[in-house]
Amino acid sequence: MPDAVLRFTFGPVQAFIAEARRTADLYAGSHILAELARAAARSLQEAGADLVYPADLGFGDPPNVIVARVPWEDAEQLAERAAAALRTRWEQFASEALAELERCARLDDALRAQWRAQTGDVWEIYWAAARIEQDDYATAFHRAQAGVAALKKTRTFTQRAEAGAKDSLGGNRAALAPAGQDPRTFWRAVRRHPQGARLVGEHERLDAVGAVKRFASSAEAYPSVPTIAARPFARLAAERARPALESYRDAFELLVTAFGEPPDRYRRTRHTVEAFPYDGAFLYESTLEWPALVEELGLDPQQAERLRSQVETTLRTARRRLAELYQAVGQRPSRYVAVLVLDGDSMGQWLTSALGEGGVEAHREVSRKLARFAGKAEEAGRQAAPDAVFVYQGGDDVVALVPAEQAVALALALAAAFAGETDGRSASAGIAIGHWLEPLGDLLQSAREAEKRAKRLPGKNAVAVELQPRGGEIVRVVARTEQLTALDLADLVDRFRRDGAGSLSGRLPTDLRQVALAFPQADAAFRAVLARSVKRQGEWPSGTADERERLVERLYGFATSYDRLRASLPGADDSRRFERVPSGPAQLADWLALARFLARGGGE
Amino acid sequence: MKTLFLEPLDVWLFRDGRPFTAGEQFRAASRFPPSPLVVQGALRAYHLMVHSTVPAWDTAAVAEVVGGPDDWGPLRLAGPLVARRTASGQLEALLPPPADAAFHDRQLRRLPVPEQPPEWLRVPAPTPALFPLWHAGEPVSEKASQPLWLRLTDFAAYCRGEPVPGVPQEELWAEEVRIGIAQDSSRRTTREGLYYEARYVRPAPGVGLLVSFTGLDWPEETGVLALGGERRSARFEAVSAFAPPPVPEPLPERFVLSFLTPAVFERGWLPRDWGAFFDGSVVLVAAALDRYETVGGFDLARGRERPARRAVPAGSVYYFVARGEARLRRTSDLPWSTVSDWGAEIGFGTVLIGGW
Repeated sequence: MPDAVLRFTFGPVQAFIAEARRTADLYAGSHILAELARAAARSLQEAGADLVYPADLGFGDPPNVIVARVPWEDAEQLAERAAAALRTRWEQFASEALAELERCARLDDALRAQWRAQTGDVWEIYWAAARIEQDDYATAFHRAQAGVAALKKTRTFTQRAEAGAKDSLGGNRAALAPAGQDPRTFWRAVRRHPQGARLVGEHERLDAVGAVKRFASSAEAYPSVPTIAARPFARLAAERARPALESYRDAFELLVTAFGEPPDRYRRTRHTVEAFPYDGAFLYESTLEWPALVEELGLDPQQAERLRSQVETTLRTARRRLAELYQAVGQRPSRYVAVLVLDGDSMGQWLTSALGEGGVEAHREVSRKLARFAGKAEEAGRQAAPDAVFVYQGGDDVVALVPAEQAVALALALAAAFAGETDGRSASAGIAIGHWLEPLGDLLQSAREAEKRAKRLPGKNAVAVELQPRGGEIVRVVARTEQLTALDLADLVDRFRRDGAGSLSGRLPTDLRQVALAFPQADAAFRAVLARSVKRQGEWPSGTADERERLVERLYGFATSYDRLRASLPGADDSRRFERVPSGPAQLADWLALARFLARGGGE
Repeated sequence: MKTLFLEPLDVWLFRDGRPFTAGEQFRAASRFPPSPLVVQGALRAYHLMVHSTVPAWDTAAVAEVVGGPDDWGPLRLAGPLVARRTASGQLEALLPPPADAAFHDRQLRRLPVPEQPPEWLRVPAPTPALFPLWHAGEPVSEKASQPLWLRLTDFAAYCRGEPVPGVPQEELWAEEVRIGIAQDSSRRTTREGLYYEARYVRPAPGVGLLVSFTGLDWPEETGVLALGGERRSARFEAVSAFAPPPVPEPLPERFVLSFLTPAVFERGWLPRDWGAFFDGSVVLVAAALDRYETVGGFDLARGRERPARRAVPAGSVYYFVARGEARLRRTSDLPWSTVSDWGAEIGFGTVLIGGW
């Protein structure tokens, strides 16, 4: 008879995922976490526990919190069983990865010992069981939750001094190397192996945890960050300028062949277009610069140098064809990509009120709704952002990579889908936009910070974006979803991008930033200045006055919505209010700066 | 003893553990406040350059004056602590966000004191003698939107369980991204493909670092020294009469060690033996600590990375019960106490003691 609530969770989640440079790291990190959760949940299920959350292991990725009803006397044994299943699954990943690594390089006992030590204490496992008294599931659930929260206050660890060069993903552990060998030399040797070249970058050196991510799922071909960033351009090129795209493809294949490499080595099956089925990195002119090209092709720099004079003409042809492709399409691929994280708002409150009303069955229903959302998120998101790549969908969490221009639309679509599956509950998203060369872990971290900013707005239900232009100042914006829907960011991007009637000049955000310094709030005077700026910084031939007025009204309405939101805050002093809800005019200027940035594909 | 307040003349760069080598990584991130190792290096370097005539390449002579890469030498440090000048010009020391705090509307309040879990709850306690900081009622804590620092002057009230106003981290410093490109000094040109981006720390006006030390002759009351990455500058000013609350003698029966800087222990989150730090018998009954942080850095003398060690993060709080009369052992002439198996001499494990 299940008469206790067992809450089981493990970590580190964010730190584990954040040690990521490539999409493969992000994917593998999320996939491994989901598999570990699945192993733990399944072991509980097989031992007869009544799984409440997740409701169903068949939908989406299992979250890293598991709640089950178990017999009070067996709680400890079941929790230990789940922990053992989790560790066993991790050891399987580690063994697979080590076997793959061994195919690329010779490993000695010292490296194996380092491997065992580094993979041996990755996971922290926490569990608590609370007895269900007088059939009160809700109280027991909260007690178990409090128990786990209390345990997580004490994150114990063992000591290990890690000597030598650190890994390049996290810098927390020593990079792997055989005894007496410099890790740089070892990892260069791994990269020189045909299999290793695909998995390890020219200057990368990995520790065991990073290597598990890279090598355990090495058969999977993940789209690279530049492939995701360049995808909208590739599709546009396939539609608008197919002959030019095919012409460049032919030149690229000749170039690769001139280096003595088979073009298929760079073929990517997912997320490319038929007319150019290769890694998106090769759609950027910067990749055709010699050092970048040698690195991207995974060649030995010295051997490549010996071929330089032979391939010079072929390389020049490829560069020319790529320039012609840009001309034919009318734009260049954006060098920017976005990481999006979305998370349900006030989930604890929702669960508390549901449990108060319906106990364990209500909890099951909440679990089912979240599972349905996880199952449908990808489909819902893809309509708004056709080029999004979903990394994780579990419980109320989504992590996705998406071309910068589609990120806000994806956030709004996912929030709507979440509301649709959860009786109108809201979700907030954080988006970090950065150059495709940025380590993804850093972007993910920034996206999580942005998500926190979104949740600081009264009522949450918001989207926050952090734009990290290369070499420019960071732009941070936040708005509630209904504000953003009214603003219609896509229309603003289009106005900055196009020429002719109704288009906007790139000077408008700059102008408004100056104006915003004098206007902390959007009043009538601000509206007048805004109207003048829009008029001066746009093309408004005769007959467009109404359209211009509507645009001004839309922008003004967006700016004033911040003031209304701020006014809704009870009893806080002004500085505190502005801390929670930023200045409307300044936010409007920054959202416009973001729209301008997206319109230019990052070419500020 | 000398206490210095270090203020930036521009931004500062205190690297995190990730490698940052031309062609390998193009982004350097900062952590703040810096590790005691950074301050130790800055004080040693200044002392060598300004107060001695020892040539920098004479490693034996350098070790004689300030200590070598493997010994701490004569310098004894406490800190660094974040501090700021108040409107009246006084210095206000700020303690890292305590790990045993619940947050409510910019206020910090200690979680209820640890108690034995009730019989209707089963949890795997980290050690048989340890029970968790436990709150079975309604959640008392909201997710703080940003870390809240604790004023030193509020420490006693915080220990008594009173709500105290926290200082939001964004009031103390901001991150600033700057870009650069590697130089080829032989040809005085830039090097192709070696763009880099560094995330610097820009402390707010009046915010800096406070450090107390002995063991070096330091006659200057003010001056400028190089601190951290890229030899960024810090203006220093000697501060008189800045001392922590005195350590109670003997210790109260129930007391906490509140870590203001990271501590490195032989057994990870636990030291080799608490007896190394206390006279008398003390029992650890609870601890609030976040995930470990990694302490490493670069050994300039040898031109290679130092071993990375795991450290109990600043802000951690350890709860003790004294069995009979117990005292904290003093390890230096500094008014601050340090509790760490490694690096206590240079400020690792700088602690405050409070009751619970």
